[in-house]
Amino acid sequence: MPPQPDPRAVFLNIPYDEEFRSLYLAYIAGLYQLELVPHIASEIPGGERRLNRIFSLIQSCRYSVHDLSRVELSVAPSATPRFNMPLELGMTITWASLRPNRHTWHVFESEPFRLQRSASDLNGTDPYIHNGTPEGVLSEVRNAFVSENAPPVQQMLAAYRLLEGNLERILSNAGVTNVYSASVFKELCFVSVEAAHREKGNIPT
Amino acid sequence: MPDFRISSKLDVIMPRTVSYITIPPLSYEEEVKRLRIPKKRRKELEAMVQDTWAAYLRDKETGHSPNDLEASRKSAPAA
Repeated sequence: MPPQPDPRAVFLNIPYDEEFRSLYLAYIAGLYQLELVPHIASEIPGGERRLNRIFSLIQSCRYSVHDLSRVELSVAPSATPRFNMPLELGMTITWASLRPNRHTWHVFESEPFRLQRSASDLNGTDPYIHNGTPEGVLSEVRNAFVSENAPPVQQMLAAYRLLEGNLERILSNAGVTNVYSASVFKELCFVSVEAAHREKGNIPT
Repeated sequence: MPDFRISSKLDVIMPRTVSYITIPPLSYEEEVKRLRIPKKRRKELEAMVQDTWAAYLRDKETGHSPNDLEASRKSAPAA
């Protein structure tokens, strides 16, 4: 039996592509604003089989967010559907069914009613619709994770802008262009923690 | 004649899974420790955020929208 999940850990099941960059930043900034901690597959050290590592990460998180907004075929030849996100959602659903007190999952989409066509087995599951915008992600994350200490969306947006405004410098320092790499993700988390605590006045400005 | 068609508002009234968060506040020190960022780099990042944040606060005081943060960053001195 795996250990109890971290009560503030959220597994992010998202597409790792360039077009998703701003929504990725919005998820990180938004979750930290809600006192939650995002986790992504790339932060897990290698060694074991990738699927096993991802499953362990899901088990260690109390919550998960599955963004199914990239269901279309890839642009690059040969056009291929992206199965990773549905696969990881399936693993999560199984785990949550076996241990309902240990895991809660949420589905996010950019378009209303598309999920009924792309994954009709999920009928009865109403996704959070973010319309493909960072503002939409922040607002829907706030709707999915209800907290009496939740800041206004405008404040969450300010944290997102802070992250976005410093992204190039973080990438440049790391010498990479991949925003999903473990080292960049870690620094984005750090900036988000700073933003959340500065807004609360916990850090002298 | 009233319109009885089911509208797109349906997606607003249908129930969705909601998680109620009742955990204590996230400890800044603990989270920073967990992230394990080297001390030197941490200082650089803190300075970078400090610059942007100071510009954000200036804008906030002068009544600019937080949406102007990108512009604020550009006007802030480099870290």
